[in-house]
Amino acid sequence: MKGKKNVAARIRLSTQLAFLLLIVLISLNHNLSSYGIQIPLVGSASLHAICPFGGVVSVYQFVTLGSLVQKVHEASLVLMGIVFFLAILAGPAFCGWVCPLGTVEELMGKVGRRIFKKTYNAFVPPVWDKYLRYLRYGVLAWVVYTTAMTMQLVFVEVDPYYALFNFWTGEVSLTAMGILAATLIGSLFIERPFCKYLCPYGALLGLFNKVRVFTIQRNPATCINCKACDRACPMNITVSTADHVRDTQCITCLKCTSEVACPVSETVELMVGRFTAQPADAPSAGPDQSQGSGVEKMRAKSGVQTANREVVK
Amino acid sequence: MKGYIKSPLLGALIVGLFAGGIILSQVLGWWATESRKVARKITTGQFAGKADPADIRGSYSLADVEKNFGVPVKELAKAFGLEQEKAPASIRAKDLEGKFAGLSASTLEIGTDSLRLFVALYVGIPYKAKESTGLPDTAYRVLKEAGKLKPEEEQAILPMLVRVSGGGAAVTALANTSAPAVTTPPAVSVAPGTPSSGGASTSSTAGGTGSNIAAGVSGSDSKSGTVASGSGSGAASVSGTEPLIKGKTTFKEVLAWGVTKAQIEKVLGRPMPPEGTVIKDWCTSQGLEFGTIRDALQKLKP
Repeated sequence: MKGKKNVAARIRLSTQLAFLLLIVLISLNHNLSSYGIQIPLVGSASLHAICPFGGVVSVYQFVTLGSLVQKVHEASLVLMGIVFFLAILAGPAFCGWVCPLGTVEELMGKVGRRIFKKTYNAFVPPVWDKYLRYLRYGVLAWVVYTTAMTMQLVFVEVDPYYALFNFWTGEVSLTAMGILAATLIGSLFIERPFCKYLCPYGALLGLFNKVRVFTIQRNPATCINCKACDRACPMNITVSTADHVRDTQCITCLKCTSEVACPVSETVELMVGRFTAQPADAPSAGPDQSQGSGVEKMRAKSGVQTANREVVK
Repeated sequence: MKGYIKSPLLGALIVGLFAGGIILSQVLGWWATESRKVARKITTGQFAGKADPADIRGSYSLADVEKNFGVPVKELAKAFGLEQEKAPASIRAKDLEGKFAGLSASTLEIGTDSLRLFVALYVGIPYKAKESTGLPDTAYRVLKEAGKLKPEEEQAILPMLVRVSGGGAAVTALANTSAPAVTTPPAVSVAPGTPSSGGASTSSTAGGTGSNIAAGVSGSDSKSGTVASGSGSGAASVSGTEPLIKGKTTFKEVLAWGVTKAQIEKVLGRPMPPEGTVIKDWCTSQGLEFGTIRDALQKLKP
């Protein structure tokens, strides 16, 4: 079972690293092209040209004037469409599986987790956290408005993603470098700090969680209430109390699911439709519960009282 | 209906969607990571539907300009002294700034905005140039010979004219606003490198060929109030006040205003070079448009 969980985690990590590597190579190639050097089989587009968020900030100008904001090209609109389609299907999977900045934040987070262990990702008091999470909507509104008004790519001045892949070029503003540094340092304490509090694209994609087709669902009938899903969630979502996760912060990383964190099979899944209703104490149809009272054993193992489903402290 | 998506499927779905979407968009001709160099259209007024010269960008080549506005490359090359170039069609608007970088005595800049102004005058579409924009005398002659200039427009651009010689790189004169005559005016030249104040070396010249432009040098930097001219359908205009940052201004001089290094670096978007560096030279070396940096720095003046 653990092997399967590792495979699932590795698949996501591999996908993330593949996209990260691709962006690094494209960025390098773009800068090398001015010296007449080309890395074979890799594009040399500017990062602005292949950023799906560029499509978002250009929409107003595209609709009103038929042109795109400077430095943004049609490819951004195409990528925006792909990401939106993916988001309708499975939520902000772009954030959890593709975004290179998110990947780097996660990698930094692995270091932070080793340093701070259980206190990692729990530094921000919930009272503050609750309100800070609205910040990214403010950023989104500001970026879209100022871009529409100025027809300039204003976000580049503060964009840690652009800074991360261009810091060596001398083209990055000091503000963006500062925000990148704060993001990387912050990732040692908080998982995905930029994604949680400031990312305008994450804010927009997060809204798709309200309408997505495939959602993260918890089967209350088989849930042993061990809260492993809560602890695994990088975005601090309380999965253990939700039947459908519709939280706008979900990034579809699947860390909470029965593939990775949840110890009971077919209990937390990315799915469409509903779990087959099962009595709370009955063994589930999943492979791990096929021999006798699997759920009961799990509950006992995790220190959970079956009768009232309260975690025994 | 019930269906699961597990990690392997989601990973494959994501990669497949991106790869498939990009390939499909390429097939459909929607995928572009570089500018297609299509200027935006004017949406209102009598010029609605026409390409807007204001949208000419630094990356536009002269061929792009011809494609968008119908101004022949040959005319553009002639206007900006590029006839001797091997491939003038491929020269980009932002290259003009570097080409005329020798304009050390002038406060007027020849660059992308000059091209916008020239095109606007050529095609008869209103355009408001920046106060610091200069126009080569060669461009004036092209416009004049092609019969593109209305009297009001001619008056409006006179203060913006810069005399260039020998193909354009060397600048020999700087126009001022002393309302000179349009025809056969006296022209005064300032040798490149001559300090912009304190006695420019003046030497009357015959004024070149064809439609001579008036050019006078006041010995100090050009001043202007607002110069505007209408052509009925709208006209090129230029407004401005005395420029503060000029072709030879150094970062040290900007710092002397009381502006901090951090403020300057915020504008530059990168570390400031040594204080004694000439801003314009630095911009040229960094591939940045001097006009843009200058305008942003100028706003910092307390």
